[in-house]
Amino acid sequence: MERVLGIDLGTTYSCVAVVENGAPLVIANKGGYRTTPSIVAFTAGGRRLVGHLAKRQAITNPQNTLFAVKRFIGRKWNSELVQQVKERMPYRMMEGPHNDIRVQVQDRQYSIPEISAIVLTEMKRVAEEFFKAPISKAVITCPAYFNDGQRTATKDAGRIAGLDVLRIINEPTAAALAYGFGKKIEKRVAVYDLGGGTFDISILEIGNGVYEVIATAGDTFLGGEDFDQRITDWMVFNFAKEHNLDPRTDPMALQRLKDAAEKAKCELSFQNEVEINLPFLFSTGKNRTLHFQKMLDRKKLEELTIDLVERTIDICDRTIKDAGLTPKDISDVILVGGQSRMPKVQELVQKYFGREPCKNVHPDEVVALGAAIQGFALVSEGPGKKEETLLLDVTPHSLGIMIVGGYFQTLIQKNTTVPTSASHMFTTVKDGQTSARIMVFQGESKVASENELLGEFILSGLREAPRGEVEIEIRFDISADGIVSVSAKDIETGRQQSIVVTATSGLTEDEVQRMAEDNRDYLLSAAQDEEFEKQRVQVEKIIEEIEKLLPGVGEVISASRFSREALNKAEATIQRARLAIKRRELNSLSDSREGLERTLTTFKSLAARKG
Amino acid sequence: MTTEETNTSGSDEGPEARIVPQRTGSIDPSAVQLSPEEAFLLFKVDGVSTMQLLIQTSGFPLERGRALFDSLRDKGLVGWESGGRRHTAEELKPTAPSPDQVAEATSAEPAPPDKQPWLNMAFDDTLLEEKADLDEATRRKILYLHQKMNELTHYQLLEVERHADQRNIKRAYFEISRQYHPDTYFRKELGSFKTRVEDIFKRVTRAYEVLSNPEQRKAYDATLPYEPTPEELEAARKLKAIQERDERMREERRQRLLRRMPLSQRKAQAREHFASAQDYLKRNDPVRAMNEIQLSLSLDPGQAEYEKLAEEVKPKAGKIRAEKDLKRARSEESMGRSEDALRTYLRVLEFLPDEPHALAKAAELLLAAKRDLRTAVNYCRRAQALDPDNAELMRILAELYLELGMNKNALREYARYAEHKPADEEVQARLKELRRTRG
Ligand SMILES: Nc1ncnc2c1ncn2[C@@H]1O[C@H](COP(=O)(O)OP(=O)(O)OP(=O)(O)O)[C@@H](O)[C@H]1O
Ligand SMILES: [Mg+2]
Repeated sequence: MERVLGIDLGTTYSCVAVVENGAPLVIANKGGYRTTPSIVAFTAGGRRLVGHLAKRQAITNPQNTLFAVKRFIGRKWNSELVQQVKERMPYRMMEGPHNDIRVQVQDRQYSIPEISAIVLTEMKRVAEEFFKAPISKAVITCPAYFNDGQRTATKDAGRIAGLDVLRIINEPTAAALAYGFGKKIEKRVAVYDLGGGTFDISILEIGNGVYEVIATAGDTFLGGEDFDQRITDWMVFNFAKEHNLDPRTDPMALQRLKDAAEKAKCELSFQNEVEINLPFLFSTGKNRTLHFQKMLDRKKLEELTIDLVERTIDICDRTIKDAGLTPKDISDVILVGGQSRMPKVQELVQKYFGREPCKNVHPDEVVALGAAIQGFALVSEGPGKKEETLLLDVTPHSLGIMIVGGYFQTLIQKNTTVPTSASHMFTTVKDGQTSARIMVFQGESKVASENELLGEFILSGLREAPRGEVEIEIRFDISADGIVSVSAKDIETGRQQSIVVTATSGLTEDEVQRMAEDNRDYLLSAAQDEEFEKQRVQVEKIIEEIEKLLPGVGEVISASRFSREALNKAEATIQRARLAIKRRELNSLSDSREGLERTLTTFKSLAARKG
Repeated sequence: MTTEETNTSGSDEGPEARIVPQRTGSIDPSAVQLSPEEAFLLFKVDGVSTMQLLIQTSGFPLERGRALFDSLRDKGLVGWESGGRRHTAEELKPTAPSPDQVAEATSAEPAPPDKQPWLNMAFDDTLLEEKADLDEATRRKILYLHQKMNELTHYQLLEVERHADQRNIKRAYFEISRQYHPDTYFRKELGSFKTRVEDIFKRVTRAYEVLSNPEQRKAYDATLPYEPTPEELEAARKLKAIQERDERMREERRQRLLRRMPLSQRKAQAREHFASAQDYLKRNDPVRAMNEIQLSLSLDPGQAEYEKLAEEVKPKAGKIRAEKDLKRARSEESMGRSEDALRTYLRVLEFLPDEPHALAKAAELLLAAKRDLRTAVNYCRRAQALDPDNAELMRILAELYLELGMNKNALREYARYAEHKPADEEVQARLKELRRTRG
């Protein structure tokens, strides 16, 4: 059966898994790491660095190092959140053509999906290197609480990376799939996923391989990064108190503070206090360099971040109540996400659910494993398919339209199992009205504009009639993929009209295609560069050897005129090779390498004659 | 004692050790001539104790006790089965919530349904041959379900029992999902079947949503013809057994009388009873008259004259008895015997269907027993028609609705009640809660 990648595209770390011989398996990268930082950097020469390489150079290259872009994927430039956060990022962000977000790196702008695509390309490569075979199909995960725009953008990222994205599934759901894989269980479980950028809670009913999501909620802007931010703020405050200076004005200092904050936070999960020591942090420009050094203990960390943890518990509580349940109705709690390693998080989760969370899953890997399991189940065939995992997922947000007065009318409630559909009867409100504009939103607010505008369309060609006489039925469908589609039917004539909801932000189809092409081009040229480098090293080595032999060979053949020519020819070949290197021409470099190799052999035998 | 009963005794013990006398419902004891001894014994009969025990605890010598029981039996007040099967108290107090509904639902056994009707149905050939990655049986099943899905009940669709519990409903839904969730046919060529499969899945999901939500399920059930729960079926079965046993006992008694007396003597005795019935009628005592007629009829069944009079007297006697019953029910209630009181009130309503107190009380007691709630609603409404401003009735009705999951109606009744009784804080609180959950 064809392999399908399961990719957990995380805010801070990504992970890839594949089901092989019936068992899901995490694939380590070349460095032996099972997760790869979701960080992309561009070198001065325009080369891309991904993962650990990118992370290592972040401090010295902060403007060209892109991290945590998942926090911006599928978001609108003018959203309050983005406006608030963009200032804190060491890289340059700007408005894109669709009110979307772009990042500026050197002389080029990238969309967010393009950056995510670079990470996905890397994950694909990790798997392909492991299996020594190309793999193009993938299931990618996203936070459960992502809206349609964020999901589409994630899918676009996959397509830009050259992946055939079978499905986007929710991270906590994926975690549950991995938790229940191969077990004959009937249980109601909660998945608490506190990662680097997002928090999700999902309640699922598991019954012999069928996974029914009964409720899901979360906050797409609440995660480990916010914990880091609190520590960074605390350090900045202390630094400012002492020196009356804001260290954040220097991008490199800011990056060091950020790194130190995360490191301290992680260490405080296992010990009671840590020393944060950042020598030569900030230069005053007056020949003075300032240091930062301070102790941070667990109690202080908890004090700085307790409201974040409590917010997650509040969301759990609301979700459980919405589902008509109590914490007692949950028979297992699965902790996912690196930030859930924080003792305070575990303590409050345990207190709320009244039970110790399940310890059998690996918080960094379950999501990718689950994605691989889902991918495997989708493509599996034949009678075995009946035994495979089946996921009954829900739509995390309510879907509806704007009605008179700017109110939001819900047509499909959140937590409805997909696929699902709903119809809405629309009548004209003015005499002689021949068209109507329908705006589709996603969210829970009663005021339409407070929700996420998914798209809009114009219903045209209506019969001219007194108001209220023309009746149009608008039908909304959400597919198993979570993709929304709309169709309209004139009740009177039965005429059907299918409508494309044009995304109001995000990329157009053309852009996605072009970006995918750019990505392919880059990969091709990167592969060529790599090949060129390899050849260059070899050629230079041969030239070096030939030049070493030259004087001796000259002596041996000085008598013959004919040989003199051979010597000249060899020199010309060297010239050509040098030119090819200078011009970075791979083809003529390989040509001249063959000539050089022949020359070297001849020279070697001549030199031997002399000796 | 009859010979057949003595014959059944195989041990040293007399048959009274196994006989459990039962009180019969057809004759009103207060209107029968009883000796104090007979009355004493009669009121000890609880349907559980053996005759031996009853006699022992009454202090009568065994022989005397037996004679008294025989006499009571002749007067039609008690009976027993010849085998002397012992009944448990539970069996004798069946909590069958709606005997008529249950009977109706159980009477007509449906023919076992065809398990795979789609295999023999005619479908459009172009659909069966359309290009799609599906075998014919699957196509047929999809076409069948798609065609039928809006006629089938949620239960039929999920293929679960009407009273299936949550766990089984969930299992059934998961099982069906495996067949109709679009992922089962991921990236398969399905042609026109694609939307059908999706429609079926959506329909099944809808059914599951309703049945897995207790409130929605209750409301949905109310739209379906009544179907008894397994417990109700069991209770109905027991009730039927008891009724059959009563019938058998009556028949036995009749046979015994017939055997004991020659025909002429029986007819003469029947006539005597008939004469005294007419006598009682003249003295304006239809209850006693009715008892006498019934004795006449058991001695000389089918006599047209007797039957005619019985028809005439029955309603009058019933009404008078109902009035007495009303008092009795009150006293039963005051003694905390609410089961008995409920039964008595229901008997009252048989003859006095518009008795307001009985209507209200029956509704209230049914509510407390949480059974026959729809009948209770009916009683309550009838009582309200007679006494529209009775706040208590509003409260009972509201609670009945709440119990039935009809929150909107409950809200309305509570609101009316609260208008009458604004000081009732508990109801005010409940009202608030109801309004809140209705959003
Ligand atoms: N021992 C630890 N104690 C506290 N936090 C930790 C620990 N280890 C990792 N983290 C934090 O967990 C976060 C990363 O978790 P994870 O890899 O699950 O997130 P992600 O998948 O990248 O993000 P998301 O799922 O939100 O997109 C980081 O913020 C990291 O600092
Ligand atoms: Mg994650």
